[in-house]
Amino acid sequence: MKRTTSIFVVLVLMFVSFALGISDARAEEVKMVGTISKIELAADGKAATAILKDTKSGESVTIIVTDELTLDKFKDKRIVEGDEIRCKFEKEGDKNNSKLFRKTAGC
Amino acid sequence: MHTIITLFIAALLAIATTSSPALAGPDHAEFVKGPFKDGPDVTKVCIGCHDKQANDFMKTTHWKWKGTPNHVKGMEKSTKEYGKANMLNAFCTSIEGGADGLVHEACGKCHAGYGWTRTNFDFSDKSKMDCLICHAQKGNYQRASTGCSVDMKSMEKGVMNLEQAAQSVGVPTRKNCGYCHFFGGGADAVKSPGIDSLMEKTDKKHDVHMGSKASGGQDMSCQSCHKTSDHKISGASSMMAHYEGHVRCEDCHSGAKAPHQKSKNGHILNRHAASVACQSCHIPTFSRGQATKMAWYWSDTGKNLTSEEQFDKETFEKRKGTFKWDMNVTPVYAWYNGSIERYMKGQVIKDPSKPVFMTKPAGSIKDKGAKIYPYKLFQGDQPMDSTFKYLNVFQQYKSLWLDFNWDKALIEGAKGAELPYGGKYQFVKTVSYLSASHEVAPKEDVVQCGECHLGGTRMDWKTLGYNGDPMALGGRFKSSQKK
Repeated sequence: MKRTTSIFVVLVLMFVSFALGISDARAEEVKMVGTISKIELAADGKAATAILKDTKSGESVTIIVTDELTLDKFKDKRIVEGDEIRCKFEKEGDKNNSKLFRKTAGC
Repeated sequence: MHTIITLFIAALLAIATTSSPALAGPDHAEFVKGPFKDGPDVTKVCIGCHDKQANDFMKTTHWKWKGTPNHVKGMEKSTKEYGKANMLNAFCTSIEGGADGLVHEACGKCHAGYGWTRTNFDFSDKSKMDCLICHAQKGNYQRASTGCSVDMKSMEKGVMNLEQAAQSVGVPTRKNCGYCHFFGGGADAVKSPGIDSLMEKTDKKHDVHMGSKASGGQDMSCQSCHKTSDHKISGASSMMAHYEGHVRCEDCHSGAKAPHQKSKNGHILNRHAASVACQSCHIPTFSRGQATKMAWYWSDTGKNLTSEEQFDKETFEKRKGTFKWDMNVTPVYAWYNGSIERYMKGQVIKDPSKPVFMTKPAGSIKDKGAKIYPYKLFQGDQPMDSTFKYLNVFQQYKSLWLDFNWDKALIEGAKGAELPYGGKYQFVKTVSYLSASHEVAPKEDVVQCGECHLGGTRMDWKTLGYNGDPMALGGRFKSSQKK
């Protein structure tokens, strides 16, 4: 009986959490094209925040960048404020973690 | 005594290694003093010590953008020179479009020189070389998007430091080569399979040679494989008429470093090497880091189509037409004997209803010197002159992109290309085979036997000239191949 009750409780909890969206731990992925208005490198050089102004909505979005290649481009100024960027990021809580951060420019 | 001598030699070698300027790279800050107002100012200082190197460089395809067509089947003995300077491809198509070669001022962003903005550039003037584009390590050296010069805007904005760039010169890094080669075809990852900006800093899983040491890779420079001699850089592009030396895996992987020595099926794998290039098994897919352009249809230029996203890239641009993108692509396979069959400017197209092969490897199953190599099969369309039956050159950024009028663009393009426009055009389909030679995978990811044999479909045996799976029917060098 105890075992049946436990299983029932677990099932109820699973149902409730599903219904409320609690179990959906996946981060939301967002794509945007925007112009960099500000870049700030962390003191240890292992992360940076870039503020992008969305070309469609005009809204400013703060992106956290941690990949080495993009950080290098910030450091040696190959990516600077004013550049247009195609960005893909994951929303995790109040943080937007960059998954792709490239200049849109071509010939 | 023997130990002492050995230790002594080892110590000498250690000292030589750590102190040798050739290996460590001499600090040029002592010799190169600014201020410099532009690129040629820097070149003048470089030539002061490196006159021989400047003379050497003037003989290379990186300077001339052409050379004798030693890579093109049937043209090997020609003394006329061909290359990016005067050939067509299926990407941006040509650098000649426009009166007096107007488009040079844009395409010349990737010419290692200053001032090739029009046809009449003086290729004998070494003071016009751009040493920094290949050799600067710091200072964020940038070339202007038009004008074939240093990017003065970057200097004015303070994001580029010409003095620092000049003082930082050294052996080229992947970043230097990538400044142009990662962006072939007009943007990142467009043209050459597996050559894109991610290669600047990648891991072993992506490329065993260029992957970082931390990831178990070798962190090799481009010239580790593309050996250089007197500024001539080896490598036979599957699109180019001229090469300055082939790059072969066997250049390193032979003798004591011969492959498959530890493999229990080594003898079987080695037997493949007579017909199958290393790349065919060791590059199972290409463009594993980001998508590459697989098709480009110029005929859609000027239309009002809706662009969609494929692998984070746009499928339509009004100025350029529609594209197809793909990543992690399984190559197509073809025989290559060291030569290519190449569409040459002005060549008459016999049957416009069939695709025009812009470039394709030469060789067949009957060709003992040929091996099966992996390729990106690139498709597209571009204008053909309906009167003269050859591919046209058209002016893009100061004609077609302004009003999308093809006739005007073709008239303008003909002026620079010395290829008359007959007044009518039609679009013809094109096909290009681009060699997939980068992104060599770790051994655990290589192509497995069953992917090609015993029902595997990776290789199209019939198209390659076999009667069927050679594992079942016998290889090409065996009389036992069943008819």
